[in-house]
Amino acid sequence: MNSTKLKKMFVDNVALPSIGIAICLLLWCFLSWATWDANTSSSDFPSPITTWTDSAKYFATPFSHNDSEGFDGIGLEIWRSLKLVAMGYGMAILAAVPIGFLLGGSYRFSRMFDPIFQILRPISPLAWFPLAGLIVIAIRRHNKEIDATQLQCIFTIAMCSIWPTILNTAVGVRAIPQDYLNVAKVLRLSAFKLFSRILLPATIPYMFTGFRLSLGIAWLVIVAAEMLSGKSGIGAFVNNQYQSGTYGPMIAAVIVIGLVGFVLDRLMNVIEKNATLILSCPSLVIRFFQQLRSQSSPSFSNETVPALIQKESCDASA
Amino acid sequence: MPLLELRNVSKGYGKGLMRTEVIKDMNLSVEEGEFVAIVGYSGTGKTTLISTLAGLKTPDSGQVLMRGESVKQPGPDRGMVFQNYSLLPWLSVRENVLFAVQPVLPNLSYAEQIAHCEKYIAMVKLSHAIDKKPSELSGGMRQRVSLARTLATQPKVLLMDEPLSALDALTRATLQNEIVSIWERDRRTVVLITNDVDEAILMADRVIPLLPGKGQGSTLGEPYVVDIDRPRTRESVAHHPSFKPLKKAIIQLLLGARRESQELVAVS
Repeated sequence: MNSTKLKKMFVDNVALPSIGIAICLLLWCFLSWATWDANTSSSDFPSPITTWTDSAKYFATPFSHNDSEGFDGIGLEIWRSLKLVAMGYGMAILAAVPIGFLLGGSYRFSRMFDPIFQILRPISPLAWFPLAGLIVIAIRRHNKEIDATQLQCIFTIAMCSIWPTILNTAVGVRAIPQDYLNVAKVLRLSAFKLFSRILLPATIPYMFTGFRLSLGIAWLVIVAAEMLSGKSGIGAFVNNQYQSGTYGPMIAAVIVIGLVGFVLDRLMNVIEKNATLILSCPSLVIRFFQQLRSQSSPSFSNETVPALIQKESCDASA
Repeated sequence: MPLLELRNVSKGYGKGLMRTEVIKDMNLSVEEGEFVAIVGYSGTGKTTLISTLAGLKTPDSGQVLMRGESVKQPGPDRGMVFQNYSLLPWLSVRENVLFAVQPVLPNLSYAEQIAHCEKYIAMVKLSHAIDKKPSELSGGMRQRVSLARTLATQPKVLLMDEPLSALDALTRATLQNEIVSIWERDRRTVVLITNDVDEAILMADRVIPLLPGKGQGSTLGEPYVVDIDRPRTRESVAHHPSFKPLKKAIIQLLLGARRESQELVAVS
């Protein structure tokens, strides 16, 4: 009974994926065999083994500068890209959440801006990149210290990855059941309480779906942006290897890009599933302090409770 | 002076040719401490009526009065128990009740607010599930939480919009008995909307039929006074000599009114 379960787990999670990888490696080998050039005795498309031997030096010490030989480890390049992604993506979601709430909550705002968002959304990162460059030129006029290409990448990432979060947040706000709003009306909640206790928690699952999609796009865009800027990061690495004709490291880098994207998506998936839990931490802290306060302050006796209620209802009817 | 009053209240939806009147020239007065049940079939504007009483909908004409003063918006003095519970799924039972208690009783300390919540949760017999989320509760338990949440805000009038209609027959019977016994201890003013004549007779002092109008929106019929002694239970009420004739009279009136309104629709 138990062993069949284990067997199924092994087949599903180890055996079948391994077979899939093996088939792809075989196809890759076939491709390099088919592009064999007898004159240079090498393949136009490097085989898995050549790819590995050519790029091993980048993986041997992934996080170190190798100034003497003039190259950086692949981990370092990934790290540079991730830093830019974090900044661009961070900017994007910070702006996207309030915009999403306005879009979902205000009829007028949505009539004003929804068409514009629909037009801006499909613009390719390749088109945003020069536009971001213009903004950077303007900023550089005032502050020459800024790294122009980095800023350009950050802006491009922000502009491309902002949309899923905006749109998902808006959908989440629109999907809030009328019942919750009725409860809020009967209790006469203040606008702030309505937002923090009902609108925000009810929208969180949608928001986090947006966050995950946005991060996926941000990772797609960084590679494109770095290829255009061509200075540092994993995108630039791919481009530079391509330009210099060293295809082994290029292929390895492409695979690493995929792996990093996969890890980011898994990570966001876990965060998305536990969104409510993560965001309930602040309220738990607040409750802890409330409890501390109520223990230290002199408490009302039970007899005063009905009196207070009486007072309350008199105020309400007045 | 009646506690809650409707004066010539009309409400409809749509404009022009698409307009449908839902309630028409409706008058109602509920005295303090009274349990009034309004019985009607679906589609006769039950939810519109109770939402208007709660202030969630504004009448097209006429007035809703609370102790003689016009009511324009909802407030915690008219506590509402919703048909579909309306619990916040990300909060536990205790937090759901606390959520309503905090804005209504802000002068209490946190510990007192918690104690207040727990008292009402115990009243609906849910102390064992106090830390559970609504998704872990059955329909009957969810409606109990909703009832505790509304009772805990100490409303002057409790408005119940078909609170038990989504529950299975057995749970419904249990909850009917419980609501009756809670009410008999607490004697709060209640307006109950229901489609169940038995339920109305079991719980209420007065049963008011909601009659579909002849293409003109629903109106309220003459009230039936339920002269069955309290404390009541389903069993004691069912065996009371005046139960069957009362039930028969109300059902016949409702069926008759519906037949008339349908004939009118068929003719027009």
